[in-house]
Amino acid sequence: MGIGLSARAGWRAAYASVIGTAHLRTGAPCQDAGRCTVLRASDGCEALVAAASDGAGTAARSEIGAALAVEAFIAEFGAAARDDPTLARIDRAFVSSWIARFQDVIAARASAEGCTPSDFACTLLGAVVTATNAVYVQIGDGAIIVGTEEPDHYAWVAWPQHGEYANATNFVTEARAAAVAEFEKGPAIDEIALFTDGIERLVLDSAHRSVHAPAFRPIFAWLRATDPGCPAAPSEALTAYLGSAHVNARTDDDKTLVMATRRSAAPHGAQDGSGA
Amino acid sequence: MISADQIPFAPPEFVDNPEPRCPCLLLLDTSGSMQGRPIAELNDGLLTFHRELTSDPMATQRVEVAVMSFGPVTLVSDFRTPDQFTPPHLSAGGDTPMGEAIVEGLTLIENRKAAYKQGGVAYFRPWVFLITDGSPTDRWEEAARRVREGDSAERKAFSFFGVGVEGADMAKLSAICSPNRPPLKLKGLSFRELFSWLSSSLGGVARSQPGETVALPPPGWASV
Repeated sequence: MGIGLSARAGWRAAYASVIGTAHLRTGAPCQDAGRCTVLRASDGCEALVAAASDGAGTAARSEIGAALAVEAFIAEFGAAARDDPTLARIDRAFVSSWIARFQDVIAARASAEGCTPSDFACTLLGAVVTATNAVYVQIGDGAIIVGTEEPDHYAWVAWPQHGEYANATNFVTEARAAAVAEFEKGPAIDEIALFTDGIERLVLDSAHRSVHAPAFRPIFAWLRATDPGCPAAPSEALTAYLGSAHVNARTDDDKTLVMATRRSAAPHGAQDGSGA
Repeated sequence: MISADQIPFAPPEFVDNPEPRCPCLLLLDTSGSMQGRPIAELNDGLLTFHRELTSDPMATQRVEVAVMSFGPVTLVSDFRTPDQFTPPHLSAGGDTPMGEAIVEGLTLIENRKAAYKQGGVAYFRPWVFLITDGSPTDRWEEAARRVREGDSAERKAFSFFGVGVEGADMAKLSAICSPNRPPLKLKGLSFRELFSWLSSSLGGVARSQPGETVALPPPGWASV
């Protein structure tokens, strides 16, 4: 990796979910969820656990599905990272068994509430980054992007799953979820963002299948200059940004952004300027 | 509280992706039997279609309309967004080569999808809308096979809607359409209602999000 361990600061993180203007018009709730947390692993180093989920448009309880998916990911993947920060335990079988357990929880809840698991349909984007390793899980659309060795350049981990049509995707509540799940392992990275499909078309270049770096540079520059740590509440700045006219002019869908950096603005970020 | 006009970073620059496209092919019977009021009402319906699509900002950006007439098979207008599409003035005459029109129309759809893929343009499931007042005068079995194969729960290559005007051979039309989407019979000559319905249905598809089942408005133009 480009930046050595010694240059790494602690994690700074921010997240927010904002309702889409189409949902405001119809009175539907925000069906997105997203959060991250930083915990202390058994090696004494920090581990970042982040997740985001987009509840399906016409599924009656998908906002509950999305919130449950985010919490279930953070709980189980966080525990695995804490016990073994090399993340050796987290393999495809671990992901499949997590999906099966999550589907059991959804099935029990559906039967208690007299509805079906598909009423809780939602996507899942999840990531764990320890001092040395990283894992990523994706079922459905939206994407996870990570910082590359080249400063201010970003690469996607998995391209949004849309199948052939723009209005189709996969959900973690479906029988085929484990089969279609993207699972990636890699070395630790220093910057990461997870986002739902509400902002997908604004920040991913579909013709070149690449990350549109200018869409992330000013936000990461701001994040690097914030106080270290992972707040327990959504970020006011990201909430204001995702709800701004700038964003709403380009999307009417719910949108979630979860981001974290352990690059600090100080050493070589003189040009970044937080502007605040 | 931080308000939207004072976010602590410069608003980032977004990528200029093309809008996802929602292609719709009209296969229109212009055989001799359509002469007189039917073709006049059909032309009128196309004007309504254009007017209503262009009054919906999302449909204007995302729907693409192509028109193919048969009697004989003619590509009247290739896929264009509503603002670029000029409603044609069709005239009736000739026989009813419906089988050939369907096969050529489905090829047009496949070519359009290939162009979208090449350009990195996302798209919705295409719609094919066939309107006829007669019975195919050519071989239609291959067309029926391709429609049923493509408009199936497995392939989902397109959605094929058959509409019969008074005098249409509904039995043949049923044999062509997918069993999941049986043909509908037009109430009188209510082309205007038909195209108004088509416009708002396409608008619904064009703004649909993943996981959403698009609820089509009830077709008030169809007789039961």
